[in-house]
Amino acid sequence: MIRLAWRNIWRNQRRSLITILSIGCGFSAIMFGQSMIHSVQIQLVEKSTGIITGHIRVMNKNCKDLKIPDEDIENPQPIEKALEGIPGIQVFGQRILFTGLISSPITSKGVLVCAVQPEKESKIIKIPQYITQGRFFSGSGREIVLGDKLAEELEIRLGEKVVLLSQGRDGSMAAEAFRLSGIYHTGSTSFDGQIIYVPLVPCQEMLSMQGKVNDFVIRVKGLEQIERVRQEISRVLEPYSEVKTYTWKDVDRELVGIQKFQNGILLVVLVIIFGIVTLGIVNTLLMSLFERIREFGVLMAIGAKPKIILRLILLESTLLGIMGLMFGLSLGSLLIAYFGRYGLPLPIGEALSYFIPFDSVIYLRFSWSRHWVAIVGVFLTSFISGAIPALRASRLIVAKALRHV
Amino acid sequence: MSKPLISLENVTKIYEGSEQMFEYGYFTGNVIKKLKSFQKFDFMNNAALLDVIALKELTLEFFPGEFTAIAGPSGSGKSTLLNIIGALDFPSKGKLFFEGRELSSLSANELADFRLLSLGFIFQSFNLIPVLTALENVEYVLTLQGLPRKKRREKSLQALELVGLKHEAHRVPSQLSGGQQQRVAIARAIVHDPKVVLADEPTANLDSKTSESLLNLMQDLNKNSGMTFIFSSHDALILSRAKRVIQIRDGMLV
Ligand SMILES: Nc1ncnc2c1ncn2[C@@H]1O[C@H](COP(=O)(O)OP(=O)(O)OP(=O)(O)O)[C@@H](O)[C@H]1O
Ligand SMILES: [Mg+2]
Repeated sequence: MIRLAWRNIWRNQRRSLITILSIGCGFSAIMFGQSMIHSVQIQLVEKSTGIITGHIRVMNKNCKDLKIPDEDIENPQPIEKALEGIPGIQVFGQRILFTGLISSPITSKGVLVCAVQPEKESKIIKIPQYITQGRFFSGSGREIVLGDKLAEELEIRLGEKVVLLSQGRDGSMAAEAFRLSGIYHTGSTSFDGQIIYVPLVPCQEMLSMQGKVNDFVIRVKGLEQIERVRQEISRVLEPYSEVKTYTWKDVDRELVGIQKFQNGILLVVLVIIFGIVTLGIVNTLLMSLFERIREFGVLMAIGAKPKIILRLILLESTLLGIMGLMFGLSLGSLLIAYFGRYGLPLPIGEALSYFIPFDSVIYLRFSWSRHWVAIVGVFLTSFISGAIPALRASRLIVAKALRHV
Repeated sequence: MSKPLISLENVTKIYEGSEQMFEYGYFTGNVIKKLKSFQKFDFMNNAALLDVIALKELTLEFFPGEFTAIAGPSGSGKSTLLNIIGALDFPSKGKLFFEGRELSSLSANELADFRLLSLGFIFQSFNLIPVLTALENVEYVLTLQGLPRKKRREKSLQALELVGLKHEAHRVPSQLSGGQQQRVAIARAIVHDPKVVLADEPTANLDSKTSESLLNLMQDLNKNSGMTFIFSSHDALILSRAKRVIQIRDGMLV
């Protein structure tokens, strides 16, 4: 039986190869598409959470704007203690986020100030990796790190001083001078021109909020653990009714929207690819089997039961499906591995980066949870498109099958 | 006189006109059938859709050991008759008995088993399985019967020897001549010692010399092992070799 099926497959080598190729190419296209969705999203989330948002945040529960918390955490000490004991947390830090005006001798500009604990923050966000000049704080007091776009506008160089202006919590005017210690470049225009980093302690003095912060930022080990760790943190922080725990999804609504939008578009693309692939497989298999109905008639005439015919055909299309999948899997894996290593430049990437922190080069990764669905889908497709002519052939009156041309 | 092996009682076969439409797919066929059942659609009864009465109230008996030819012009119903005897098709009316058992009550699986055990088929266009060697083609019937491997080999080689093709056993059909292919088909038809071998124009695709030798072969098999042969032909030379000739025309005996 298997021998017969196997030889039938290789009887018409060209047709079988075309079938295998069409299943394989189709499958690798699906795999590629899936990997792309997956990679774009991970890269998007990692990049934007890596610049400022972080994975999980603890803020005053009365904050109206999670991007720039307008309420403080009056007593961060016990929270700091509580967070230290949670195992899922990789690293966390205290922050004050506020808006201010930065001035160089040339000009001034409104910015979002992120006052951080340099030691910890360098492990939470990815800015240290984006530094193109200088360092992400050298540890000598009043230093500032900002984007290359802003540095250009302010026309300042490393080591030069800028003045940061803001309003203190007591209503007074607060000003402080900082020395430029590092310049970063993320590729995202809005980030590179608007966000600056300064150490926490001088800012607490400047804003007259000694010992207070308005934000805790937490990094977990992997994106998939975020929700679990958030629940854990919420539970531990239950006694401190002043604060509430958020994930990046609560903080960065735009990003969630973009993600949904992307998901939608890519899903449509994927469905189209899947449709084309399915049609291709169904077509090649149906054609090759309908051509052979007469042959199945002969088998039945010499005494093969309908279920034997059914099994033979299903075996053939299953074998073709498996070979196609193996081919597709290797082709797809090769493509993903290649573009995972060397990156896939997207022509639209640069344009997009004006709005969102988006890399124009995508490094593909495997998304096995999705690939599995595709494997099963393609397999079922070849199985079902084998089953249609198989059923038809096995139900035909033998004389009719024999007359079939 | 011994009991009949096969008997037909008032067998009628009508190919419904709309059946032909099924060639265009089940959907179209069904629609046309529906439409035809409304008498108003007279226009549907055009030539292409007319019912064909291929066999008309045929009553016939065949006995063990026969060597019988069914003769008649093209379109007279020879193939239809052989198909019905071979349980490849069903009569529209009437009954078919094989060793006293009525066949219309059997399921598709039972019919398959019946063909597997009791019948052998030889077709006009050989119809060997192209991917299997001569030996494997013959062996396949025994595989379906579930015989052990060794026994299968032995019997298949015997059958091939009988038709004089032992040395070509490992060739695939495309490497054999038409006459050789038909010999393999005969070996396949007899390897399991069926009660009846049915052959629809077995020599129509062969030259007269090859036909002659094939007929000799069939005759020998009939004589030596008492196997029943029923074959159709319109070749006078072939017909002259038959012990009994059944003439049909327009689906009726003449
Ligand atoms: N599947 C079918 N559907 C409709 N009509 C059919 C079908 N098979 C045969 N017929 C018709 O039934 C009649 C008998 O056909 P059959 O094939 O039995 O004749 P035959 O004697 O074998 O002819 P030939 O010598 O050409 O093989 C013919 O008129 C033919 O057109
Ligand atoms: Mg005929």
